[in-house]
Amino acid sequence: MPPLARGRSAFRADEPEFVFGQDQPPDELSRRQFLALSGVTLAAASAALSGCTRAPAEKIVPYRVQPSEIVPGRPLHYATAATWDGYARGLLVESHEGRPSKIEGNPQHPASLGASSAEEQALLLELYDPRRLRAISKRGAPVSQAELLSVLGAAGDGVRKGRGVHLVLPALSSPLVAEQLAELALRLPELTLHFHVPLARRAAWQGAKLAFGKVLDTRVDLRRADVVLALDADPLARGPNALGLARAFAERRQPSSRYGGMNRLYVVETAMSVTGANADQRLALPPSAISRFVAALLRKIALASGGEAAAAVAQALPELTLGDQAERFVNSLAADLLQHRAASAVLVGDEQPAEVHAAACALNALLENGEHVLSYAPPVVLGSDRDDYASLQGLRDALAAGSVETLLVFDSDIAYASAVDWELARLLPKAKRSVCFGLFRTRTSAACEFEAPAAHVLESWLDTRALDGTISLVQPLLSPLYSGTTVSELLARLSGDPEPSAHDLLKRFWQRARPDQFDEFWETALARGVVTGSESATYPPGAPSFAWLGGLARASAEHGIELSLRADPRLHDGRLGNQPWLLELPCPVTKLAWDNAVWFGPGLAQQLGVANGDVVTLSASGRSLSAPALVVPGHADGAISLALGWGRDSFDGTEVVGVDAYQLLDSTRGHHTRVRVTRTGRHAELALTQDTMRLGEGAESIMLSRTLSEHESQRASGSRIKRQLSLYSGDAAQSPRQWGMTIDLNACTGCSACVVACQAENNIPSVGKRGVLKHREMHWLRIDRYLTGSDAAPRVLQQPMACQHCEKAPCEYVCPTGATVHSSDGLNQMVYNRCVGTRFCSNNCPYKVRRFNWFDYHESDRSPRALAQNPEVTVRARGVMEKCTYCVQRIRTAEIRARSSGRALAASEVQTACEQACPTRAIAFGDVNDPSSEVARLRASDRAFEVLAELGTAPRTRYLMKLTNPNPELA
Amino acid sequence: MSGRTQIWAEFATGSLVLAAARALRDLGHRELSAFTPYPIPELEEVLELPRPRLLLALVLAGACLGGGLAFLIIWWTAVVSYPLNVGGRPLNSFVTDIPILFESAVLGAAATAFAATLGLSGLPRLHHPLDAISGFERSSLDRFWLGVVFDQEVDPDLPGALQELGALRVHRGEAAP
Amino acid sequence: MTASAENGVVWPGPDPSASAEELALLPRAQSDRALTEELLNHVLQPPPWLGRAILVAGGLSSVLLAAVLYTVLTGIGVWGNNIPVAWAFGITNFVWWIGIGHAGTFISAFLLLLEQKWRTSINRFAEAMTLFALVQAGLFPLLHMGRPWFFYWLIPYPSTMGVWPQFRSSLTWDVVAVSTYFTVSLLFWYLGLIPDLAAVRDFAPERWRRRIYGVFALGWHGSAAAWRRHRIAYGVLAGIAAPLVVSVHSIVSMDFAIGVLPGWHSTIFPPYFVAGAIYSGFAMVLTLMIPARRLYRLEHVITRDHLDKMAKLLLVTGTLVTYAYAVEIYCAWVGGDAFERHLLLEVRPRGPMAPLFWLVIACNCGSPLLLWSRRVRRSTLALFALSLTIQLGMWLERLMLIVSSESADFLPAIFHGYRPTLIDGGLLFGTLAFFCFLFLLFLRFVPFIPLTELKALEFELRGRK
Repeated sequence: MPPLARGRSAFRADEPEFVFGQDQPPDELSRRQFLALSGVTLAAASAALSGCTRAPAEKIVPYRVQPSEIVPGRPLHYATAATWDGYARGLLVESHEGRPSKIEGNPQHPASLGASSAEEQALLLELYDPRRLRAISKRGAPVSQAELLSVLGAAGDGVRKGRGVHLVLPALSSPLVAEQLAELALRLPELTLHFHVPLARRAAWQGAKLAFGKVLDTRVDLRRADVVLALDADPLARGPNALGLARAFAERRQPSSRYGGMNRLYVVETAMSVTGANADQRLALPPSAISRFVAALLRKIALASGGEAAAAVAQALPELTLGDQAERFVNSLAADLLQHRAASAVLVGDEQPAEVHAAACALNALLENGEHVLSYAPPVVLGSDRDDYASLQGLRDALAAGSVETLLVFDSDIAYASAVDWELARLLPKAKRSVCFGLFRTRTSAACEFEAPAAHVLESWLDTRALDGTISLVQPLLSPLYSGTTVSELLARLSGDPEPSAHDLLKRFWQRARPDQFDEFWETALARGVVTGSESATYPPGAPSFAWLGGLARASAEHGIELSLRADPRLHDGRLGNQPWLLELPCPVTKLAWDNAVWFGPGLAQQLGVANGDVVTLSASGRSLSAPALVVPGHADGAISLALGWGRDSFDGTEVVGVDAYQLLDSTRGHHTRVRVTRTGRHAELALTQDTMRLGEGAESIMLSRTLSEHESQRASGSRIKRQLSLYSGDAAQSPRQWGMTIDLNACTGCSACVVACQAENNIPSVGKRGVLKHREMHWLRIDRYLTGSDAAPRVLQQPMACQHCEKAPCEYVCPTGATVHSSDGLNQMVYNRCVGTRFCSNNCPYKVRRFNWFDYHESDRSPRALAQNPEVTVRARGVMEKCTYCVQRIRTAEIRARSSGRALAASEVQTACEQACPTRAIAFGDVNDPSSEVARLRASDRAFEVLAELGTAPRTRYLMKLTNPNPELA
Repeated sequence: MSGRTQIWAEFATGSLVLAAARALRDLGHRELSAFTPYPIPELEEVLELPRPRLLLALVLAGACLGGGLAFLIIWWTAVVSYPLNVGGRPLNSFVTDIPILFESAVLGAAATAFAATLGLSGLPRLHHPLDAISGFERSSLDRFWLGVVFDQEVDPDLPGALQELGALRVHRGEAAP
Repeated sequence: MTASAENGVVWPGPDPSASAEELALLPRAQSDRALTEELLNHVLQPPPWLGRAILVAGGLSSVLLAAVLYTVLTGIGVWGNNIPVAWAFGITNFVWWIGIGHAGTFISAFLLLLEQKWRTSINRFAEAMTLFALVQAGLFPLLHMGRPWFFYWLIPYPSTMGVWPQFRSSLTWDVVAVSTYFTVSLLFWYLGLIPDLAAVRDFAPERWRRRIYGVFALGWHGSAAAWRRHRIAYGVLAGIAAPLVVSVHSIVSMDFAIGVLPGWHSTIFPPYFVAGAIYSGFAMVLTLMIPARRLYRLEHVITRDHLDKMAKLLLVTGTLVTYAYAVEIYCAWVGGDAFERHLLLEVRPRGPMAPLFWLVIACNCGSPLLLWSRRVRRSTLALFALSLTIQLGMWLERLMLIVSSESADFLPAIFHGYRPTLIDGGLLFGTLAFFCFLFLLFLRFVPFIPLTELKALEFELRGRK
């Protein structure tokens, strides 16, 4: 009950984590508490709020051809890049008068192609996070920079050669840093360097090494693959090139794809993933069974393709029995793969052991999936060739032996996101001196002697490389809010540079690298966000060896239920901290927000008598962890799975979100371990945004899905989808331009990037777990998820649902004040100022896409986080209704630009936020009256249908029917 | 001094006053009036009170005014003053006006009915000449008063006649002009 | 004046034209004097318990005040409402209270037009109930708004914004309907009250009381001409009020019927709601009448025959409501609209709403069947219990209608349940308390049995020679 929880809610109301209690009423108390915040906070916050973020001192270059001088009120876009696990993803950051306000993907960048994921969007919130470290402190007490510098100076003292100095860096692919590290190695030969990468691609690299004798990254062009096999992999949502792969995949989902017909996706996995939800044929297997499955598949393919491979495999691999379902699956899969020789791809997830990756290499080789589909290249990530890459065992031993003089940790929470058997949280204090640079106070920084702010990516100068080697220059959008350090500056200090500047370091490095016409190179590189022609060469792998086959499909003697520790589809490894946008984003698979639950298959859940929300205890080798259970249709029954990245410590008194699955991550076992599951009898409330996953009566008027063959036969028979007629005559005063949207359900993977993009663009508040439990989430765009078929092997249908902008909108005629009316160009407009909040419009909306401000959600946000808001979009007050506007602010801006420059508005000129973020281009927006526009073409498609058309609402948003391409043999 | 005098007789029951009124009318008295604690329809007939046509006319007018005004407001605001595309409905969608039109008509009618009733009866008023007669206040409780107006001389036998008709007492006063 | 002024008036025998049944409505022959004294003394010498009761009710009403303040100051989020269930307790209470009110007008208007003599002793009761119920009802449309301080935007006035209300919305209809209804009920009530106020004025011993009641009596003197006008105007108002009752609840029902939601989008709603309203209203009349009649020793004025007739009306309206339920479900069944079928044949009877649904059926369709028995109809205790059951049932029915349709309309992805909060409960309880408070004040200060009408009835039945 709100009144009882007031005190706490007030605390939340203005403490950095205000969002947790957002469903609680904000009240006077909170204001006083705000004033009680530290002077620094206040200064930062107020400075921030008054909008005086400082532009970087150095010259930064806006994207493409824009007037580089600041026009007040007109935002500029700057290209830069984020680095995930060492791989770059190009960004395009919108900046209002030097204040970054929105992040998009960089169309020029191969790993982005203009799209962005939820993680990139959340970088903005991270930048303005009120919890960011603001000053250097020693054991929690603020100290002068000098004191820290003396420590660094001592560490970097050339005389001592860096003995006992341990440096922990995150995954990087920066050429500059590579050079700096080389210098450092000469200057401090005895310095020990560790890379901290919770979810490294080490297994994949090692697999390639087994197969081809060299650490390699795999690059796939899914446009060329007729048949795709994903083995416990989630290529459409995870990995260095997820956005690119998703785009390519979607292109091949179109029956009329110019690369050949619709592809077929096989998925064999333990837990339902985004990719699994899009599979044509899916098989759920526990982790151990997956390697057996691969072995069986490899055997069949090898024998079929003959040669010495056949011989090697035949004598190394016994005939494996899989159980008849898997047997049928593997047979028809093998047949399909062989049928599409040289036009298929086998992909494996990072959590799988090296042998499985090696097997995939072998399979791809045997299937002759050559360069055009699938190629190999040495990883761009620094240190990838080290066998102990991403392992902190060395550091652990050194700490245990007490041989660590100085420990320098940069932007890595090694005490939290690392194998529990390394016991780093316990051992860290054993370092004589320790400094932790980071954005936030973390378990690591709290255990270190010094805590120092690091620079956020949007505050940094650096360079970084994408999977294919493409180099991007990272330029800051603003000078560090809290004078944070970049990694290059830290390294420079260690090599004795007294006053390093990230900008100069980078510029000088590239001056050496590109001496001729440097200035031009520099300008264009910064402007475009990529260094053209910097892709790295591929590596012809040659024939695979089979020496490793013995390691494959080792039958494990252990007992207990298999636990698979996965990367979370939203928080990844938890590196972004608790950003409300990500925490409140419903899991694409389970629609669970504000929690990571233990996933159970329906069968196992029944067998153990576990239901949603029952708290279970997982125990393995003396360690145990309690977490709520969640029954996930399509999850393999022999196993359970739990997402990493949750349960980060909270240092501001707010409750911890989710459970810390790293507590069960054992470096000796990897991501798959065996646990005992016991019910505690306790029950936890799970903030599920969708209760019903089954389509009941009237399904066909909500969602259309057919198999490719059905669709083709229908098309042949000329049967078309019915269109509704209206009794009302056409509206008066229609303008020639009519906005509309189409959403291709066949392209949508359900990755949910659009949801966060919409939230970022439209200043949509987060309501906290309690808010979601009360079904008051504010997302204007949600992704409805429906299951058909059995719970054990369900088919997944996904439907992004936002305001349909009905031409005969039922919400409009019931509003007593005329607060929601229709614009002449076909928008269903919400006039916040006129709304009195009767909520009749929401009742009468058959799509239930309207959202209501139950409390004053924004009033309470006096933190710097308010800076992330889009100045083009009204912040809604308490008591008014809101909903998708088709990004009307973007429409009007484009119109005004066109008018002021005296030209007609081009069809492609307006992009909605969701459309822009979408990796698969599932969303098309434009003028439906303009025959040249994409949206007009798609509306006329024979797959286009309107949701609940029979109600006569005449929605402006049309959906394109989902198609699947199942293997007839398995049907 | 108008020279017109009025005789007031007080009766104990409705039946008595009714009888008395009938008798007086048979005696040829026309200007009769009565005050009773509750309505006695027969008495109204005896006194030959006219049907209050004006009242009904006013009520009808009130109804038309209410309804008409309502329609004008709706039509003008939706069609003339600020036309908006609301759910693709026609600007002048009369069907959806009907409920409001009806209610407004009712309101107009009721208000006029109430006002007219009071107004035509000269209410509200703070003082009534007959209040001067002691005991007249019981006319709202349990006494019934019958009044006769004489132009010139009062018929001397009348008081006696009234006594016989059951009048408790007879009072002679000046007629209201 | 004293009783001695009363000189022996010989009362004639019963008027042959008055039937025995009618005579039973006023079993004890009483002189105007006696009636006046008995009825007015309720006002002049109120029973001792009344003052205390008023205090208690007033105290409990503070719950309402608190809940209202908290809601307005912090936001509608303190209620249990959500998306999709954007309306719940608030609108339920609104519809329910309005419905309660209708019985009052029905009794005083319809029965007057139908010349039902038995209405006489209870109609003012009923009308007062109407007014006070409307006061409660009026609260909720305001409170349930996100920004109640802008309620006046629903009224057409020339504003600097240059915008107007949107008259296609049934919510604007509500504003007109409810305000009209309140005004007309008030005028109707007051017009009938004027002669009685005059009576108090002339009867009260204290000067100050004479003054105050004198002012409210507007200087009424019962001249024959005034009585004639009064009678006719009263009839006219009754004639206006009768269709008004029907129209008002029809319009209230359109808050749902004009929607597209399954279970709302139904043409049966207007008659269905009107029947339900009067049903619950009669129940409320009984709830108030039975104790009052006992406390004031009015068994000879409000007789068992009155109760019996009320009970019969309950039976009739109850049957109508049952019929409406049946038709609604039947239409869904034969209608073939997938979503409507799902709601009416699955969600309500078998889904999470099932307990609510069956409770409603038990209260509104089951319990009135008892009224077929004469013994039940004439037992005050049984009637009192039944009347409470039926009011509960009707309240739950509205909740069930509103919430079930919202929580499971079209897209399963957004099907969600609803959980009320303490504030929701507080508002309902608060209005109940406030209603009692107002009603007790009415008993205290107003002649709640229509004195003149009763005397007129007495005269009509026995007075003629």
